[in-house]
Amino acid sequence: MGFNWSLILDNLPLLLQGALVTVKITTMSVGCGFFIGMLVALANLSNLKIVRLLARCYVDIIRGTPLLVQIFLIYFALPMIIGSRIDPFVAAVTACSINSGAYVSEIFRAGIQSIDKGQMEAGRSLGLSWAQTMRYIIMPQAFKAIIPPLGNEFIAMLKDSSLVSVIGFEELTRRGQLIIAKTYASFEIWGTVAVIYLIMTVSISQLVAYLERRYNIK
Amino acid sequence: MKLKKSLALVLGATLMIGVFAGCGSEQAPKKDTIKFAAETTYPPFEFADGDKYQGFDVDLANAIGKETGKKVEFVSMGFDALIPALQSGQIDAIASGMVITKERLEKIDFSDPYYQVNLIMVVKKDNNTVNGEADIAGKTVAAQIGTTGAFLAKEKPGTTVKEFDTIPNMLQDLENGNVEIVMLDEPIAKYFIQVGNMANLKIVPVGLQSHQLGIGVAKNNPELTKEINAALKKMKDNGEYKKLEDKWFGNIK
Repeated sequence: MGFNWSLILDNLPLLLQGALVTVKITTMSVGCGFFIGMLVALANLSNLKIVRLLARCYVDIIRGTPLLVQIFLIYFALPMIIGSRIDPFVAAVTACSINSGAYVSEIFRAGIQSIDKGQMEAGRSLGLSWAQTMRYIIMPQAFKAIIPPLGNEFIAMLKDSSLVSVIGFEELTRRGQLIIAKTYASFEIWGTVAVIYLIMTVSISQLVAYLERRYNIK
Repeated sequence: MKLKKSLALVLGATLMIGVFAGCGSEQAPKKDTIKFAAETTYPPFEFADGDKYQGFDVDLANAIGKETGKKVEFVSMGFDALIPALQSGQIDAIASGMVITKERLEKIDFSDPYYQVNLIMVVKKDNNTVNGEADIAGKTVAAQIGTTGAFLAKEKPGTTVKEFDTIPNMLQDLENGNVEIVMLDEPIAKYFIQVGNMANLKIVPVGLQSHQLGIGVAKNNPELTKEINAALKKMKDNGEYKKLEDKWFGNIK
């Protein structure tokens, strides 16, 4: 079986455009997910029962349902409720952000809880408020601990973002599908798509490794 | 006091979700534009050429736009996503080689039929055991998800049906020997085998069902159905339709 290199070269620009869209969705989703996650993690540690309950519900519902179903719900069900069309890009980023937020919140919670309780008590006894202790003492240390799992989350989202191809959003996987429908070269195109994903994920893990070194060696 | 606080929190949370859902560019359906959608992995009906969509349905959609004096937008999505998208108002019409069936008519409206196709089977060239509809029983069959071929295969006793998103994946599975039969509409099968150069596959020359293709429109939009029907009729009368038919199916018949 011949391996058609020129076909790969011809379609590489289209695939790379798709890869750029994948990076865009992932960055925006994990970025939004980072802030959602931070807020939800703090809500999870709140003294108010109702706040804890809401945060818990959010995490359980989102982690307990497939991302694909969440994408369908946002793209198909939401327009019926709000009575207006949703752009596929907005639907994709919203679904992925909400999804990522749940995972990131658990990462944050683990990070915050890994810091000894005594630090909060020490901060409070020095006259800092809860928020100040969180902001200046707990969070900086927690952040160091959560860099590796955050990197994991980013890599996982980069791959999971391929699910938004079902709503016709042309990221890397969908571009691959479209090219194969015209060229019939499944092996060449899926192989190239895999290599592009691999290059992106390896780059991210390198970046994470660099950040780890930077924050650990003083 | 405590109650007030929790109430404010719940309200705040709801608001946040609302803001989140609402952010970005919402688009109200525009009256002067018809937004068509298709699963664009279905040549010669619809496929992507670079970052442009092409094919019989795409040309037909544009021609309908010309006849009705409306702008045409053409978007791509999975075949199983098309009807939900129409129902939820994300799109105005489906032009995706979609067969008019009783089940689909319960959910959406169709224009008058614009093309007729036969459902056929594709097998490996050296397969002589599949010669007609009766031979589907007990076999492993591939069909596109949610299509008439998939429904027919599921009715047969002892048949394992694998449903795929796209045609190339099904034909690849057939070449790899994981399935014995692929259910397809004839023009697509011919196109793939001829243009796609799949020399070790063949068509079993028995039409299983005759299908009418229609353009899907939401049930609450009968004006659009009427407009599309008028445009189709005009195109058939003035020869425009024949031109498109020759362009996309002329050399594969």
